[in-house]
Amino acid sequence: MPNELDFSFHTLSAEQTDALLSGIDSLPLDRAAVRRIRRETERAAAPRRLRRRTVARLLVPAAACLAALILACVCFPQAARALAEFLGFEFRASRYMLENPETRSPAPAVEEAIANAACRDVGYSISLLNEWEDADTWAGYRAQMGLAPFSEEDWAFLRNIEPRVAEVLYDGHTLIWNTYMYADEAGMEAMRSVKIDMLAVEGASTYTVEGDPTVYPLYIGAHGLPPVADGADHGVFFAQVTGDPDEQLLPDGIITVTQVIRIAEGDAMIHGAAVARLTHTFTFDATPGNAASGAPDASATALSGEIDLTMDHLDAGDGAEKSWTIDTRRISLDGVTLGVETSYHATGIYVHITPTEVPEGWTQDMTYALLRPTAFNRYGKIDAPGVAGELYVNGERVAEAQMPDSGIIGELTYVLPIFPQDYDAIGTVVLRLSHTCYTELNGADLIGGEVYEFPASSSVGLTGTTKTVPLAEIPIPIP
Amino acid sequence: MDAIARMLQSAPEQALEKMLAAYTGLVYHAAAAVLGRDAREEIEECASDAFFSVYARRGELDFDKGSVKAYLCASARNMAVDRLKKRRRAEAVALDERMPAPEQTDNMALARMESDALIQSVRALGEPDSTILICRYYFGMRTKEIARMTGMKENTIDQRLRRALIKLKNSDQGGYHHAE
Repeated sequence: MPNELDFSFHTLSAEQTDALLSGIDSLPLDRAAVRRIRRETERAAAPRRLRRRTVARLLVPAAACLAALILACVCFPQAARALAEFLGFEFRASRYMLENPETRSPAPAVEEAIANAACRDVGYSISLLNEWEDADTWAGYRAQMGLAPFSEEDWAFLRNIEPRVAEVLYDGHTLIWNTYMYADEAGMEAMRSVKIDMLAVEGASTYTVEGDPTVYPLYIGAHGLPPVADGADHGVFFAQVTGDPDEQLLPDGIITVTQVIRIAEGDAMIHGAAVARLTHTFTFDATPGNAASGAPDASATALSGEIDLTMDHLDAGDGAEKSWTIDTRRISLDGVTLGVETSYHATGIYVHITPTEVPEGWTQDMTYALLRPTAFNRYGKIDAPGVAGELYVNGERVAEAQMPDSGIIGELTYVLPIFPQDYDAIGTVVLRLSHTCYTELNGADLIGGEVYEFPASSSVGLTGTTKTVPLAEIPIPIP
Repeated sequence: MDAIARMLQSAPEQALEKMLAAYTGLVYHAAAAVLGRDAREEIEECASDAFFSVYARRGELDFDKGSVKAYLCASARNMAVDRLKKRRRAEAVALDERMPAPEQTDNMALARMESDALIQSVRALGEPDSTILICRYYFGMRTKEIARMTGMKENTIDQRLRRALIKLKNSDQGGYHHAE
């Protein structure tokens, strides 16, 4: 019998949703689901720190540094060795892959990993906006943004772009590939002049594993088209996928990646500026990358004593009309244990730190504050609260420990630039963690117990003073 | 503009963390109401996509028109509808007709002034009836879950729901009454 009283709501605007849900601030949900959703969201969101503009920014200083390095090595042979060592300790896989292979200072283990991946093109296709099923919607976006109506004639040169996978670097944890974008003169000029831009389409790229028909999503984090040099015969599309620190990213075997790239007029970050979509498929062998260079190690570091923690507090019940405060409190670390997992890869040693034990009454705000990453600024100072890592080899500080391009909130991961070929020659390796708190922020005496509340109606800058103390020393075993 | 919206502009990663801490339950149930509670993986994907969408579109969304909570719930519902379309299930046809694609949602919903009247009618039911009705029909929660949440008996929840629907029907401000 029909139930005439059943009922559902219209689709509502955000304003109407607010009106409807006024007073309903939270609903129960089991912890496992909360954790899974958090993990997926953070996986998707965190790598956005290295989108196109950052990629572009990275390339320019990297190129400048490389030029300086080459100059130094040519002019001052005695300095070459020291500089090369210095460059080694500044290594990041993404930075390395962004450098021109013909001029980069080669890291043997990394070059071997690239060669072992044995990437090969499978095929590609390009569709222009007017061919899409929802072309009218996209035409509407262009009109809203004041862009000229799409004309197939104007954009026909995009059909002549030919992607070729050039390099794949996979170390079991991070997957990076460079796709060379060859084009005719019009296409090259469009890339050089930034008339067009490219980004991976969110959530559209996939992979399969040889022998398994399942199509898996591939969450491309950092991606983009760095500036194309005058005279270059191709652009380079950079893409990176970073897995969870404690999990192998891909299974062994031949992996077939299908990347879907949005080609846009101007800035590809502007969704509605898309003019074409490129679907490119290539393969590579993940097996060598999964073969770690040493058995993983796990240990625990117990913390003790007290620490001044700078914590953010926001009423978690409802974001609307609630306050956001920040304070610094003295907290006992007794009962806090950090779990340390170390794994060994061609691109360096990964150190993953998680809070495995915390005392009763310890809050999430405390965990986030204790393991919030911070970094040295360009002047070698730490001016924001959190943990900074420094790498010591044979008792000497060699560099600030680098973090990967994505991470999980409340956990820390460092990638130490120590490669398999270094293992025999290297002695002791220690990761020293320091912790920084705000003592004063925007005039509020946080260390004296005051609480700073962010104003309700305006964004504010942060000006403060900090205090840094040692947090832990973590010895890193070398295979 | 609410606090998390402000934080989205100045410290987006912290804001994401706060959004996840505050609204995962709401967003999950908003998607579950559309997809059905058995579609756990799809619901979680929608929820995750909704969080990411608001985080990624923070520069485009007008937080003076809606709170972060509202955008999250609206996004989750829209994404759930989108998934239903893809599934091409029978009921998706009906939903397809009445629920526009995500990019169309705001304009179309704003044009539907009857929604405002419906919301007023629902709020006019008073507490706890309005909350019970919203939990049942907006968030698709089961009677048992609502009973546990409110501390009432299941029978009481059912009775209140029935009375609330009759009131709404009499006020002629029902949303989509449809047969099961």
